[in-house]
Amino acid sequence: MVRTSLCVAALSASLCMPAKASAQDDANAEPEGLPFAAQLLEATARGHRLLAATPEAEVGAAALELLRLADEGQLARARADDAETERVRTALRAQLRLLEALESRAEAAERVAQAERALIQARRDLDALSPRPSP
Amino acid sequence: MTWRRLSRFRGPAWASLLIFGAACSGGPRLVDVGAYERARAAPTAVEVARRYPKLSAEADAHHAVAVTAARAGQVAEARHAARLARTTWAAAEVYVDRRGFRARLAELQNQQRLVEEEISAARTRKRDAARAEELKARLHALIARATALKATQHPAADLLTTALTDLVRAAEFDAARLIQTDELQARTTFEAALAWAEADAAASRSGSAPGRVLSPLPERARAEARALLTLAEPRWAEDNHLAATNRALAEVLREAVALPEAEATLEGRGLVVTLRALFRDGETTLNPERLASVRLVASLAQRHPDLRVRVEGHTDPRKDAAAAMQLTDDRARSAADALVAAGVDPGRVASVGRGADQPVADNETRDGRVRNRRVEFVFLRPAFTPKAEPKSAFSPGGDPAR
Repeated sequence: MVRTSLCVAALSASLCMPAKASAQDDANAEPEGLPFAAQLLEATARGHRLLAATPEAEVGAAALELLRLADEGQLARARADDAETERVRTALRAQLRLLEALESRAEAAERVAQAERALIQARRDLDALSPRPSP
Repeated sequence: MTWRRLSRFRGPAWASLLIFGAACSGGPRLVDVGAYERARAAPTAVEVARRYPKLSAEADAHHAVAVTAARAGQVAEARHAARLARTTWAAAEVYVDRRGFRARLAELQNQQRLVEEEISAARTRKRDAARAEELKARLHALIARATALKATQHPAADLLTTALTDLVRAAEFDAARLIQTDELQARTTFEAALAWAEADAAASRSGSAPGRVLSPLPERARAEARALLTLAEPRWAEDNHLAATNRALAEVLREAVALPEAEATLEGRGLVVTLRALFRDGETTLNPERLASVRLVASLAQRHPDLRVRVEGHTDPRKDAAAAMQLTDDRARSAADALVAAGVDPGRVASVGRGADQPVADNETRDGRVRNRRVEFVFLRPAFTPKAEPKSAFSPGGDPAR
């Protein structure tokens, strides 16, 4: 979980996209920062790490898409196709936003699961303190 | 895209095949704008657009570009815009999901707080019960001594025995009252009176002092006891709190019993108002015909703003216990929402499903099952918050009546 967060945060930063900013704030962010070649290498590495780190299918699919975009970006650069390079850059940014949303949701789900477990334990404690008469 | 990457993907097999197929073919042959339009037409899309208008507008704009480019035959541009539209919309959907988790978390934390308050109250009751047992034993020992005093025909014996027996009887089922009697015992009023009477009887028997010299002592002991009760009042804050909450709940009970088609009972956890047939079979939306009953409960809650209300859903046993739990959870939440919609402060309202675990009637009969399908509105007994204990008004060994 933490490693996934770091992956997304690092790559988001490299694309000048604040990883924890709200979705609305991200909408108009402009790609700057690391050279695009470095961004693609970073995306490839992060994609592999995400695939290895998370068992969640949706995150896995999104990470796979990230890898595909990194491949597309390398090809576009090799062809010196500026239009395609720009397209990949914007697609990468959207993909990272999706990954950040998935990560944030997974954390929220984990907190809910923890709260549910705590509540179940508290109810058990309460039952142990005041046993109910059998109906 | 390589087999090595695909093999590391842990998602469903169909997704792997889809992605692999798309990768091998270099992406879809046609520009797929239908997927976005289907997602945009889904029932949940309205909520997504309402919560995240900027993301939705961005996705719509990408989609419009995709459609325009596709019509113009600009396949690469259209494919790119369609992909951006899908990804952007997917992010908005996930953000909405996350909001749902956050709301559920807040609800769970609220329930946790209520349960912890109940735990605190239960611990207090348990502690009081243990202390009450100990006090009862001490009182019974005193009664035994007073009974033995009777054999000496001492005039204080009957008075002491009666007073002690009355104390035990009055406190037999009420730990709080019995603990109050501890104030009497702590000052050794009765014990002292008994000891004096015993000494008086012994002196009388031995002839070293005339009998009945100390006979007014029981009266004095009672006067001391009354003085002690008055002076010790501030130390009984918890008992006073209990009495105050009982009075408050009794007031709600007086109004609740007048509600039509409702049952009202006073229990340890608080006042319970029970409504039945609020939902049609299998449904989790309130039956509109029964909304008036819930509004009457809401009105009751608004007249007593100091009390919190926990809505508990119950049902009869189903084949699937988890489904029964979910059903009662949803129904309780629906009833709680109705209270809030009727003007009750949402911070005062919590809901919980109990499934079929707490029947109030025999599930073997049809009538029993009908009685067990119910929603309980529990006006919770406020928890006691102890204050710093005031310094004792008594000095050990001093004159207690001073």
